[in-house]
Amino acid sequence: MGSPGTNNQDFRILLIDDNEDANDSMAALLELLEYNVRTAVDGPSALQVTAEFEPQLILSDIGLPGMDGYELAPALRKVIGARKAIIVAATGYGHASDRARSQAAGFDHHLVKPLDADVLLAFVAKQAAEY
Amino acid sequence: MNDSAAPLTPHVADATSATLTPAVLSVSTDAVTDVRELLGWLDDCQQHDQDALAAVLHDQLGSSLTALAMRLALIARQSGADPKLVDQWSKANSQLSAISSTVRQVQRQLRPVALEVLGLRPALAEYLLQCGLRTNTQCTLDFAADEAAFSLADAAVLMRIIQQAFANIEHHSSARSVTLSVLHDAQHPYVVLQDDGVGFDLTAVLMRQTHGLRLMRERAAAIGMLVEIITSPGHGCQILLRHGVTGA
Repeated sequence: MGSPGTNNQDFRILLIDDNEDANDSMAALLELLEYNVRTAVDGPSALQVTAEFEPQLILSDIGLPGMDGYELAPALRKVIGARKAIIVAATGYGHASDRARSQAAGFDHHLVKPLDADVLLAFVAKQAAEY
Repeated sequence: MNDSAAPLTPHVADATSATLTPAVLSVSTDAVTDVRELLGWLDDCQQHDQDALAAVLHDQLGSSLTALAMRLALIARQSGADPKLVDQWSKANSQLSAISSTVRQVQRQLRPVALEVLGLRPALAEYLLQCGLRTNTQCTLDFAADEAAFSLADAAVLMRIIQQAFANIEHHSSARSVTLSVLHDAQHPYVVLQDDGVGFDLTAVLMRQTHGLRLMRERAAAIGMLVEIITSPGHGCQILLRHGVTGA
């Protein structure tokens, strides 16, 4: 698992969740381990942060207001372009049965909410190590 | 979980085998058609209700419990080593983990969201992994079909059939191992669910017209598949889902 002083600051993470407390607490925990973290509360702001911050790992809620996670994933891929980035869906439910599968194909992994802190940290450390 | 199992072969040569057809179920084709439409509608209604419940769990509980878990983890890493505090934190964290685990399990049952996010193969792998952990059963997935052969809607129905079949295995079979194979013949994909449990008298079960098997058959028919069962007491059970003529 990542720990202070192991170059975690070189790993850029974007957290996207309209629940600001979930966002802030996750960011605080990851920053405690010196990861480089930004947050966004909706799709448009996430796209803007992605363009500027160039995150290597994006953890996005599915149930976002307006542009939901299924719409956001391919839009993020467009902004990211050819650069490598891991996009993870934080899910608990879905409502995409009427969507084409290709629209949801932008995700590399998914984690089921409620997220467990140790599971999250182990997952992030693994992604950082394998990036 | 092993993702590449040996090819399945029926392990009971004298097993009872049957395809669940109107003749087997002793009902008329007209009645089947009427009831099939009704069941399809009820199934859609049930899924709609489950989606709504899953959304409530996610929106109202998922994010709040996530935030709570992160706050507790922060406290653990930032507080001193007071043994009393550590003990209280440990108990609170254990309770939170148990609650979160239950919420995740309920959400998975309400809607296999991995199917929509990642596709059929990862969704089945995740489902079998969770089933294996929950029931202490060796669960193996052998997925050798083209995922594109299943539309998202058909894959969702297939997941429901497999969930139902696994529930039967869990409650009635005492199986120690289960293998789910998604394969492809010359023309169509087919699915085999094999367990090494106690098996059952298929004829007697069909005569009782159990709702579980009936619903499985109707769901399969909705995506143009037939259900065949090979089993006998003491010899496990093999459920085959293969392409067939809807309404057969």
